[in-house]
Amino acid sequence: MKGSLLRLVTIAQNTLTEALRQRVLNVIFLSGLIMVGGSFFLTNLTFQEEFKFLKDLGYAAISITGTLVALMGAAQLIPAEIERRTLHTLLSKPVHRFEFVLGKYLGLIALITIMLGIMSLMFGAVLYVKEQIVLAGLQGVAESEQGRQVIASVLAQSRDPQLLQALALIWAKLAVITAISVFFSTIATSTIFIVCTTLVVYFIGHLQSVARQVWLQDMHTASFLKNSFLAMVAFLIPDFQTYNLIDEIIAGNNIRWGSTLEILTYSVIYVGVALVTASLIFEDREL
Amino acid sequence: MRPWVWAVIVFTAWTAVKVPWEMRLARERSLLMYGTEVPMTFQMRDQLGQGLTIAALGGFRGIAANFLWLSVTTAWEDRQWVRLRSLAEMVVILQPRVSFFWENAGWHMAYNASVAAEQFNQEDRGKNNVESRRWIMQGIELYERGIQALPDQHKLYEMLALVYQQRLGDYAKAAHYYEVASQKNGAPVYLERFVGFSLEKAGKDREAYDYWVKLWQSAGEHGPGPRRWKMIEEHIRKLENKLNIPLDKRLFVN
Repeated sequence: MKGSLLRLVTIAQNTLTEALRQRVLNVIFLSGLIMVGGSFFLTNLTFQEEFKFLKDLGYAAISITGTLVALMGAAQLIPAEIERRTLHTLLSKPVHRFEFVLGKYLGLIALITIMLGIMSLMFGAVLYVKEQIVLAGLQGVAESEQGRQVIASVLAQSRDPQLLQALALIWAKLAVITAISVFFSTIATSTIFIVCTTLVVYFIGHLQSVARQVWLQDMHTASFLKNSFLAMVAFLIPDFQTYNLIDEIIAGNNIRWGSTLEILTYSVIYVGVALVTASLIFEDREL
Repeated sequence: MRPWVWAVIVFTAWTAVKVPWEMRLARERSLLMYGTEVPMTFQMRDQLGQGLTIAALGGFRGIAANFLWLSVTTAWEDRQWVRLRSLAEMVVILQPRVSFFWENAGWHMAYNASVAAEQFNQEDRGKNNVESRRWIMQGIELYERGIQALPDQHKLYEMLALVYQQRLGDYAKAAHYYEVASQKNGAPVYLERFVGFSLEKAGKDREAYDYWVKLWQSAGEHGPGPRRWKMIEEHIRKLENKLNIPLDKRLFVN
């Protein structure tokens, strides 16, 4: 057990080091940082509501960057091991295949967590600068009752502790996308194939609830083919709309931590199932 | 058994839990986002069109609403009120739980569009007034829908009261909405006073007096502060004289 854990950590560490050296991932990350920083200037387009605009753009930048890193990371790292035949060397040592899959996943998750952390810090700094600029403009009205209300509203928007919940939800969504990408990389060797299939799942995942709705509504009248297709979408693909609570958090509406934790639990279970399935398929694969 | 068979078993076991769980999460989400358990996807597609619906479903609902709101501001600058109305409608469908959108959409209708209608044709004032009132009622309708989406926030009740007070001169209704607004969490203290002012303006002196007295008696301390007790005292004194309240029943004798 301890040996297995050590092997997992070693594979994860190596995956992280290798990923940090990947130019593509670094370019994506840099673009993400520019997008987060650039959201500050885009708020100048708005009439009032700069904070909502800023938060929407900042979180979208974090989410898009994370998604690209998750997609590219898994699609590049596992097939590369097979192509370079380093996987054979690795598996000739006492390393189980499931340890390899899990270790790769953990390495990628570590990478995503680090990137998410850095981008969140940068976004926090952008938010703080915006807050200070807005507060400086309100100095003249600070004494009146309405002025105090406006200042309280600014602080509530810029220092909303619920923003941490939004970050947790983005992280959970990225964890699921990474797991799906790792799953596909255990059955295919082409990077383009893995990226494309994961992207398809990503897009269908955002429309999965529509498919489920149609399936449940028209179950008795629809054709067998239509029913089978919609049921397959509902059963296999995760409902990525679950994570859209982020919009509500950004809008300043109160979302219970209980709801966030439930979505985190859902994500962890989905990741677990995807990785177990990926490991079982990888066990059977001819290398 | 072959490993892939186990893979199928694991995934099948998960799907038995997955779909009911996702359906429950979707119901809760719908309740949180739209205030109804009814799935909004189809209504959204009908009203927003394919592109915006996909943006909304894709997790970019906030951004889609923000960029549409920029068009609302442009329509306001160009004085294109019908366009503004339809754009604002899309925004509030996308993010019905954002008070700012309801507040400003209602304000554009009840103030900007209705005042523009009042000034549209100097020769036919009767027609202008009818058109102006139509826009005011659109503003009221938006506020009322906003209140349904955000029943716990004071701001939309306050805005609705303002429209009744400033645009329709219906002070009794204004007083009612100010009172509801003042009872919401985080409501500013001045709303309490606005209830009394509006009741007086509506000519309901007795009700206004009872209200001021109730407000005075609701707190032990009457020192300086945001509640402005001195102002409340002045109104009670004025109404005691106006209503000829017997001396033994007055709050302030001197």
